[in-house]
Amino acid sequence: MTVYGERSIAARRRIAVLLTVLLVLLPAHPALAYLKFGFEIGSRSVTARWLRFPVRYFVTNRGVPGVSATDLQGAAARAFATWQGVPTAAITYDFAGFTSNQPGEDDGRTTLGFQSVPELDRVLASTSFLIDGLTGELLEADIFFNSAFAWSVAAGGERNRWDLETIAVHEIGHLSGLGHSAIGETEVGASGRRVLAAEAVMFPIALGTNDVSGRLLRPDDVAGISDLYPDGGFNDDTGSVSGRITKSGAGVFGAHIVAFDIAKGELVGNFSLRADGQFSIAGLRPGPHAIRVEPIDDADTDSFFDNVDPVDLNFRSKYYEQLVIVPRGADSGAIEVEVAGK
Amino acid sequence: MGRRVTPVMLAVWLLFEVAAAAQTGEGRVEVGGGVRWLGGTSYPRVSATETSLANGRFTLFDSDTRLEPATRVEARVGARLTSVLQMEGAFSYSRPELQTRITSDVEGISDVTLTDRITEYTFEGGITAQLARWSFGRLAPFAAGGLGYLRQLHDGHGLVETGQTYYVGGGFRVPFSLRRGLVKASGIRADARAQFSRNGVALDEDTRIVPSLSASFFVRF
Repeated sequence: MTVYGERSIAARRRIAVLLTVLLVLLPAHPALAYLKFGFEIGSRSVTARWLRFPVRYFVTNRGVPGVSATDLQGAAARAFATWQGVPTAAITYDFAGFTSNQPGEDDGRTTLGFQSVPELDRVLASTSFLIDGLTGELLEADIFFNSAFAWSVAAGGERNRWDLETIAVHEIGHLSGLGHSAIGETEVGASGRRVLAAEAVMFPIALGTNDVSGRLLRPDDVAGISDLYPDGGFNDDTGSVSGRITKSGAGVFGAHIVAFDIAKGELVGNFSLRADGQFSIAGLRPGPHAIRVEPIDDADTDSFFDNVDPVDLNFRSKYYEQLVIVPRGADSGAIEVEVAGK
Repeated sequence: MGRRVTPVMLAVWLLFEVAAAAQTGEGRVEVGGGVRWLGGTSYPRVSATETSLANGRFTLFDSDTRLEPATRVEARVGARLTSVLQMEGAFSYSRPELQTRITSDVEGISDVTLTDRITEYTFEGGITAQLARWSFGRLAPFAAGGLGYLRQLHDGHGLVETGQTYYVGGGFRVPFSLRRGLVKASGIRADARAQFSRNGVALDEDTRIVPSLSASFFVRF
């Protein structure tokens, strides 16, 4: 689940690395990875994650028209509670107070707040990180909400305004260490790409103004955060599917693989993250699953991958020919899905 | 105040009844084996959907899952309780196939059927009652009912599912005239059942009913 090797990080002690992930109207900006952020330090792979809990966060003491600083803090608290409420994940958060500091400042404080960045006319919000380049520990993560857009904290959403809690849930997913999910559908029209639907809060494109559906986590999000911070019986009660995606015998990098639970209808996805086409999807409910493989065609590839091997988009979508049985607390055993070029 | 049947009273009664049955000369214990055909069962359609604007649902594809008909190999042992009632237990083994048909893929992937071979064991206990009134020549009809434990292993045996079975039905025995040594009687037996099952590999918790037919050979001691 981890993309490694996006950035070359020298194996020196405690190198601060700044990363930025954006939630966009259209996917025009680079993000780092899918599901979990990862790094390659020499020959070692490191996953970016918080190691000290609760994660303490501050909220800026400035509001925007229609949303006061207190409203912002309330929406953020609800969004943090959504992630903290996942019973199979151990991460916790704590509101530390209001601050006059800006998000993005390298001040050791995890800060959420509004900033006006009109030049980022397709970016609703962004999360930046300070990471210990040796251990992968997240040291600080700041979220800015672009006040160039109209925001709302109304319970049922508000016409022509973006729901702050919905966007905060997505950004806090990044803050917690999750990358983007590709479980969503888009279409490209004359005015550009338009999102039709998504079944992951971590899909990189926001559904639309007045939409509050993103306040609720989906199975893909739950699997991701639980895989990163496993708690309860997560590792014992869920299982995984792993294998390779190949084309003409060679590995396919960047294929999107979705496991579909035929009993519950739940969708959990991941990518083939190595040049040999290997993939793994964790956090699956035990039982039979259908496996669907497709090229990334519902967002730009740089919404998921950053500076890695070329993503193969030249193959036809297909299903693995058999039901894959996910065992409890173990892996299905490697499968191989052979795809054909377009 | 009504009289209550205690377990001790019931056990004593059974002992007397079994002893009485043994004195009929038809054998007290029945051992048998044969095959049982079990009908297939379908589960509700499950669609892969995503959330669209205004909390609508966008369908990626549909899935229809079915447990195909199967033939069980069955072994059975029974004990006569009375001249009418027989208590019996059975073990069966089969390899039904779980099939999921994927259709209507939003990106136009051809419809496909995905399969999983199940290894199924059942352990059942029940009662048969002779229906002497409807005997016809050597054909001895009976009614049957019982319940059991279902153990299903998915392909590779990495996941075990368990469930319950119940059945009601009836059939007939046709005894041969063979009577040699310990063997008091032998013959063939056939029955038809309404077989109920719950859980196991089922995709939901509903109780399902399928037809079941069996043919077997039996020996009485």
